[in-house]
Amino acid sequence: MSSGVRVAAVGDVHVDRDVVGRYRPALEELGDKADVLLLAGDLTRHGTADEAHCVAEEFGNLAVPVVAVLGNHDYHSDEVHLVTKILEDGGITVLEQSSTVLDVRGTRLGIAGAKGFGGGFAGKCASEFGEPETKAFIHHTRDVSNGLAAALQAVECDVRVALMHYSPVPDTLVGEPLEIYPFLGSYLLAQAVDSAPTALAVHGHAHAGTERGATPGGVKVRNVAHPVIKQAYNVYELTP
Amino acid sequence: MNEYTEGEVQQLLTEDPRTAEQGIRVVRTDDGVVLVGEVESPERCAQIESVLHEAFPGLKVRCDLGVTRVGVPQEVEQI
Ligand SMILES: [Fe+2]
Ligand SMILES: [Fe+2]
Repeated sequence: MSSGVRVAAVGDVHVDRDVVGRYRPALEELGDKADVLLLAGDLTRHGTADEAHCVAEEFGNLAVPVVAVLGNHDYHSDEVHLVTKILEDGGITVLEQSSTVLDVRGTRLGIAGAKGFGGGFAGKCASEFGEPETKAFIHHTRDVSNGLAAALQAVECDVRVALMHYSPVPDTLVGEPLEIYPFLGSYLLAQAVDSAPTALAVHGHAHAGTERGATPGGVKVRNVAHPVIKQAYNVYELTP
Repeated sequence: MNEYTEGEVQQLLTEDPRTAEQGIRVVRTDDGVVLVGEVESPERCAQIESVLHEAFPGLKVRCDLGVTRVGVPQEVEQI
């Protein structure tokens, strides 16, 4: 048995009835592979109650705790509260500018999570200026990033993980068209990650991106979007 | 097919509730379009093809879509 904390993670599973059962054989082995499973948003296709029940069925009742953030697809039907409730009733912890602490063989693993949002990256990003629509867009990014920073700073733990749907860095977007980077993430999220001693930042959303990157502060970033990792989940080992 | 059709195909793939796919690359060819990417089930490949045939009856659509594998990881990355 290793001494580190083993974090399994996958994002963008986009579950609907047609996916139920596909992940299950790999998930049944989670108890031997990891101490926690993180779901990095886009759990559903359209954010409906029906699809949320499918997610709870597929990712519920596992040997390890499951912690999730929602993604843009999970917001599509304007039923975020209902979707969140169904997931939580299924035993999945859903974070949004909030955190949770798990005891892993005496090590306190802190996970702070938020959906995140777009806007772009340092020096090449949108600003809260001009039309109300533009202001609202960036205001949301700022709000969510500040909420993530506060959650990361407040969580009392031995090892700290940031969980997002949108990307904090451009490194893990390589493979996506440059033109859509502003819709894939924001450097404000990286600033949030760097505002606390974070060990690992995990995100999804960029299906055509790259797995590995780092924040300006040196925190390792991993894009775990399912089409990027091409397996049921990845496992990362953190040593406090 | 022209650039506007390419734009419409991209929007349709995302906005039609039967597809709801944002991660598919639309590649323009002389006589039509090739769709490249990965989806979560075999049914979705077929659905995407039929939605495009319905919306663009004259367009030659070639699908190069795969279903993302769900294997168990064999490695652990030390962070
Ligand atoms: Fe996604
Ligand atoms: Fe997404």
